[in-house]
Amino acid sequence: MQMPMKLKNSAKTLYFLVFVLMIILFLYDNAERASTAKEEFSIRDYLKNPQKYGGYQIESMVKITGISKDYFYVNLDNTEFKVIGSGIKMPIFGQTAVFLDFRKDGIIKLIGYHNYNYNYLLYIISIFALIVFALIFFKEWKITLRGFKNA
Amino acid sequence: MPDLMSHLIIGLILAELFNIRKKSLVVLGAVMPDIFSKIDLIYFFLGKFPVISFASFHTPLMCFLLSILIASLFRYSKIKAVLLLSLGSMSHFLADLTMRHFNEFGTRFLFPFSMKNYTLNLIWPEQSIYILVLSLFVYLLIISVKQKINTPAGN
Repeated sequence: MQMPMKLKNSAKTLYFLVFVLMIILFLYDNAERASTAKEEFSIRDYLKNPQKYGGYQIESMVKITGISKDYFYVNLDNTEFKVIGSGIKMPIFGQTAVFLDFRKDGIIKLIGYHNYNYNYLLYIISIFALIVFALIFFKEWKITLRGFKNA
Repeated sequence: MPDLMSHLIIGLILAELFNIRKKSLVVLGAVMPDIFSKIDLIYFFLGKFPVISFASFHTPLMCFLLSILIASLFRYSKIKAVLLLSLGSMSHFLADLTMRHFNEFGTRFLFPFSMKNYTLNLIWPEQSIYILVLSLFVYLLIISVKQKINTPAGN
């Protein structure tokens, strides 16, 4: 059945407005992030002047680069630094979330950490999920020039 | 949750429970929030601050708007398609709500009105493997029960 021209035009207008709204929200989110990033903590600023930029407790995903008895080294935003804390272990096939206290005296202390062990395995499973999704999707839909129709 | 498979199976469970014919639309809705937002992972692996972030796509409002646009691509009832896609994406956000973090992460349910992240802090993201196993078990159970009900007596 053909859609009346007037209805077709109003549908097109709606899709256009939705698209514009999405672009606005996307830009708004990025502008908001950029403005808070300027105000917020940066590891490079902190290492240059801990007195000025310290006093923050921050959670971040990091790469552990070395472990000693009472301290360890991590890499955050391509910057390696020393963290005071013991009992930390290297993650197995995954990432590490650390909760750190960036003190004003220049000492970075570990408050908490969690190894996302085998997290990379879940990413691999996720890629497999996309294949499963494609199989389910194309069992039900057939692609045509005018969109997807019943398979 | 880091794995799409859990979201996909949860979507399939919902589709089976509500006897939805077009299961793929619920599943598409269930994986949709992660499709764009996970582009940000590239920054993590490169060790860079995300200059342009796609995290806004991991919010209910953006997913709803995306559902309207995606529904337009189907030669199918647009309202039904939006509803099925939204059901899937809601299941995604509810599953993500269980994720545990130290303090700053979660889902921005009220974006763009609030940037606050919400989470119930129940399980660490990598422990979602248990949700995956459990949801797979539940899905298979539903399928077998449905098959038993639909099999004529005496067979």
